[in-house]
Amino acid sequence: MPENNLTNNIRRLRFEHNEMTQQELADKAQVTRQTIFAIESGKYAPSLPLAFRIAKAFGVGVEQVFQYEE
Amino acid sequence: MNKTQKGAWFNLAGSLFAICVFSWTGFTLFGLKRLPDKGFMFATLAGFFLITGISLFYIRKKQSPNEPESDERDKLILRNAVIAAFVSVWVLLFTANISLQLAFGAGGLIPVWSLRLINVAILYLVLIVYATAILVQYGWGENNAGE
Repeated sequence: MPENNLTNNIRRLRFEHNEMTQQELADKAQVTRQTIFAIESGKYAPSLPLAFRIAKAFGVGVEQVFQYEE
Repeated sequence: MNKTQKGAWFNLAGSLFAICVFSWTGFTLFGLKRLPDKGFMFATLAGFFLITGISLFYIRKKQSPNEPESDERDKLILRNAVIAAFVSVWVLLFTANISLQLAFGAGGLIPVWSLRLINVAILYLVLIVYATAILVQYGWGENNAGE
């Protein structure tokens, strides 16, 4: 299994945005809660469109949500 | 649980139930040389309606009104499960053929009904592999979107 070098600040951003729940974020990003959980815990790397939808849900840029570490 | 997971659990429960029913029926008919009890038939019907009824209600119930039918991760998991099921078809067919050859020899004779039984058994085993692959992937997580 390839190494996942992608990290994210979704949990922190959720708490900063009125303690948004995973379900609320999932509804905004049009995915299931399980997918948000998998992304948060680093088990799943989202596609580009999904990454942009998540960033849009927080009103920030994609780079502020996801970071790629070499 | 989302719809895909619920569907996989229903698939698994139904397939396991069907295999148990077919196994016991086959054993009763061809091993004990008698028809299955009426009680067993009622229990089979009850089990069938119970699994179907629970799944029809439970699968339709959404986690949220805006929950999509499936998202990109669900599609990826389903694709991998289909690949696993496809591979298992070949493995099971090969195993069945080798087992028959070892049991009856290359020139042996088997009744026609046994072929039907083998095909049904392979079908349900493939469904079990498919459902298990889905549930295991949800447990492990997937790392590669868009592949």
